[in-house]
This record gives sequence, structure tokens and C-alpha cells, in this order.
Amino acid sequence: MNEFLAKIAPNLVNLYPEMLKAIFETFYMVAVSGIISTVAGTIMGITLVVTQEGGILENRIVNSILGKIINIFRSIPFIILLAAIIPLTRLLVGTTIGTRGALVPLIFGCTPFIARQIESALLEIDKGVIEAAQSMGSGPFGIIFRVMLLEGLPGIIHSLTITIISLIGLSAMAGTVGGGGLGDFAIRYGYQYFQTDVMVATIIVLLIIVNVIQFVGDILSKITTH
Amino acid sequence: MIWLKNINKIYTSKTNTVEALKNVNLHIKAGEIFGIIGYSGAGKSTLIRCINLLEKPTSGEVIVNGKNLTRLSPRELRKSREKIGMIFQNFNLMKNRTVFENVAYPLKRKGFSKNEIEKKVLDLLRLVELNDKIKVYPSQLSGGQKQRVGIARALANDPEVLLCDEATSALDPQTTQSILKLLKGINENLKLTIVVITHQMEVVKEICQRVAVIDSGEIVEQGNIIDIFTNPKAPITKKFISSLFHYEKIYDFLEKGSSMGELKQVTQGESIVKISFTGQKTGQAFISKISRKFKIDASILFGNVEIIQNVPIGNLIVKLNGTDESIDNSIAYLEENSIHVEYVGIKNDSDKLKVGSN
Repeated sequence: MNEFLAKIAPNLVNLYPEMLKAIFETFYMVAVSGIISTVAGTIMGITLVVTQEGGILENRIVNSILGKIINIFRSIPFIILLAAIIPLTRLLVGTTIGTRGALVPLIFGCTPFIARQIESALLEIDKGVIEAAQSMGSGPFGIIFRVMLLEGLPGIIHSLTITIISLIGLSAMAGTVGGGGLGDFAIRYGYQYFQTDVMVATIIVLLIIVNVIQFVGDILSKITTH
Repeated sequence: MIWLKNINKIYTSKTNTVEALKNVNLHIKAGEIFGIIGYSGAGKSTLIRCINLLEKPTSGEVIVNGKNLTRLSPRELRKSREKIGMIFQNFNLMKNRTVFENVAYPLKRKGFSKNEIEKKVLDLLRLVELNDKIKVYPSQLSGGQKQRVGIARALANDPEVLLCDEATSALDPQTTQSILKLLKGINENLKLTIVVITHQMEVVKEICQRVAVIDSGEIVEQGNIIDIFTNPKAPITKKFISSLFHYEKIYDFLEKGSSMGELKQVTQGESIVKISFTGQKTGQAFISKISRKFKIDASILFGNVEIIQNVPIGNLIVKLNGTDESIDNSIAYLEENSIHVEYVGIKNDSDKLKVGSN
């Protein structure tokens, strides 16, 4: 078995520990930036929905300012954002390289995306249900936590699945700018050293990761839909 | 119980303003079922939402159970809303909660123990006859069952008032009847004041004691249901009533004529009248009486009796044949006996007489 592997993927056998490290780094970047941007993005998404015209906490100023900030960040291509916010990254985490350096641009790139995804998931909720909750005496926070988040849960899970998958893609890009992770690994060994087996192996690993996430997301979305 | 005083609601957008409610005054008494009927767009939904302030009136006062809701702080208003239950045309149940959880929703976070909530919810579900569907999600229920869950949920806070916003409009006639029966039972047993918004005269006929008719944001007529049914004044009320009694067909028939030649021919000495009677008086007996007494021929072209609030209300369209004098005397005699008579179609040489459709 080992001989066979050494024959078809000679470089991979040597780089095996490196690759495990890269996988771990990718998980680290996706997990940390994913959690932070999910929290921030969910808060922003909820804010967008409740402050919009006719919302339960209608506030045109907040809505329009937040909407514009989100649009600005969404319109900057990630690769440019990576470079553009370097000073901010240095300020926040003390470094611009390594996985820690990648976290800041990942969070900035991902949060506005999640905010819009959560917004559209929450806009799907029947307005009548919210009205019914109001008629029963629920206040804005009761409605957000006990009605909107619960009724919007399948949609939220669905959009988080999409987000995590695209976050893997973003983390690969961040990796090339001194980050680490699978993107960095594949570019360095697979592309720059022409080690095709490394490139293929990385793609297979990514394929598995993405499919597992999609599969789990679909199941969760399904069991929360009634 | 509920007082609406000088309620105005104006929607303004950049392009235009819409007056949804114009100076609405209503008093709904404790323990009654009050109907508000109007066509779609008349402002009924806005009006019922002004009672629990889901819509804030532009001006005017809303007083429910002695409390002026228009003057309460948001927190106090929410507290007051707990005592004003509401059910909706589209039921508005939470899809991701079971029947039990939907009904338990208003009870949670109020300091009740788990056992208290469970007991209350099960009692309510028994009341609406859904105790076998406790763990089911709303998507597995029929429309009528969903509305029953809605009713149970609206009753969870022991409200004093129940607002029904087109509660039966999405249901088939049979289910409508069963929901109306349930509402009536709740009104009688729990002494709940119920406000019903509808465009269906059948609903008003079935359960309401008093009714207001709304048209283009204005209350055009209100009163006791029997008075409204026997003696509607506003044109729109007449329209609603005639659709219930199916007069329209017979008026069409009289106006346009029919294949039955002898009906459309109203010749000299003939009158077509609508005779309306309520309660124990039977139109039939009076018709044979006038026929004998005044020597006229009376043939019934159309007849209809509706039972409203246990009172039979009858309408007959009758062709009277005789001399002008005897017809006049007959009509005077009927009116003396408090039977309402209205000319529908008559024809002779005087031009005050015409075929009418009111």
C-alpha cells in the first residue's frame, strides 16, 4: 500500500505532515472567522430586517447606514480587501501573516455576506406570524428570539451552509497572502513546484470537506423544517 | 367594553394619501358578538387592527375595558394586548412549533410552571376539540383545524375580547359553520366579547347580535341585526342583505323579463310588492287574509325565510291583482300589522310608478 502510494504520489508521501497541518489551519481559519462573522452577520441581518420600512423597530437611518456599509464591503473583491485592510489587521491581531493575519480579512469579507443571507432568510417569514405575536403582547425582542429566529431557522441553516463553503474558498485565497492552510499548500507545492499529486490530493480533500458540510447542512435544514 | 371615538386613519406615501378610516365611532358592548361587514378595501381590516393598535389611528381614541389604549406606553400596550385575543384569515401559526407549542407560546415567560402551562394548553385544545393533535405541526392540519389552534392560542391569556379578522374567509362553508359554532359557544360560555370582521353576510347572520356596515372607511349604518336585516337603509347594506336573500335574481328577472311571459307583464291594476315580516307573523296567512278581505288576487312569485338570532325573517315577492283602491287598502292593512311593504314593480298610467330594484 505504502509502496503503491509512493509510486503514484511521491511528493505527497513526504509532504503528508505538512498537508495535515494545512488542513488543520484551514479548519482553524474557517471555524474562528465563521463563528465571529456568523454572530456579527446575524446581528446585522436581524437589524436590517427589523429596521426596514414596516419592520418591528422601523428606523430608516440605521437601516440605510447599515445597508450602505454592507454594500461597500460586499463590492470589494476579496483579494483586494485582503491587501487593503492590512493596517487594520496589524492593529487588531498584531500581524498580517499566518492564520491569525488571515482571520481579520476573512471576518470582514464574510460578515456582510452572512448579513445579507440572514436578511433574506428572515424576510421569508410570513408577516402575519409576526403580527400574531404582536397581538399576543410580544415585544420586539420576544419577536426576534422566539418568532423570527425560530421560524427562519431552516433558511438560516441553509445560508450558513453556503457561507461556510464560500468561507473555505476565501480562506484558500487568504492563505496565498502569507496565510497558510490548504490554499497556500496547494499553490506552493502543487503549483509552484509542479507537484501534480499534491494539487490533486488537495482538491480531493476540499471536495470531501465541502460535500460533508453541504450534506450536514441539508440534513439540519430538513429536520428543522416542518 | 370597546369604544372607538372619532377614529381616523390616513396612510401617506410620497405620491398620495389614502383615508382608510373616516371618523369612525363604535361602541361594542361587553359580552356581545359584534359584526363589521364591508367589501374588500372598505377598511375593515384597518379598523379591527385599530382595536388592539396593531395599526395606530392617525387621530381618535380607542378605549378597551376602561383603558385608553392610545395613551399607553409601548410596554403597557403590550400588557393590554394580552387581554385582547386575535385570530386571522390565514391563521398565522408558527410553522416550526407544534400545536401544543403554538398554544403555549403566549403563556411562556409569564412565570407559569411547566405543569400549569401544560394543563392550560390541554384544556384549551380540548375546548377546540384538537386534543388528539397535540404534537402535530401546523402543516399537517386542515384549514379548519389551523383556525381552531388559532382560537386556542388567542384564548390562552384569558382575554376579555376576541378579534376575528376574516376568520372564516379561507374556509369552506361547512368548516365555516363549525368555526362559527365554536365562536358562539365561546361567547356564551366564557362571556367573551367578540368582534367579527367579514365580507360574508352569512357569518353576520349566523353569530352577530349587532352589526356595523363599513364602506370606503366610513360606518354607513349600524344597529341590531334584526333591524338591519328587515329594514336596511344604506344602499350598500341593502346590497348585502339582498345577496343573502337572493333578491337580486328575482329583480333581474322582473326587470329583464323572463321566458314566463305572464310574470313580466304587469298590466293595469297589477302591482308587484315585496312583503317583509319578522317573528311569528306568517306572511302566508296575511296574504290569504288580504285576498279575502279586499277581493284581490295575490300570487307569490318568490319567497325566502331566514332564521336570524332565532327570529324568522321572511320576504315574499307578491303580485297583487285588483283595483288600485283595493291594492292600496291591502297594503295599508299589512302595514298596520307591522308588515313592511315595498313596491318592486308596478305599472299603470301614473308616472310615479316604475320598475325599481330596491
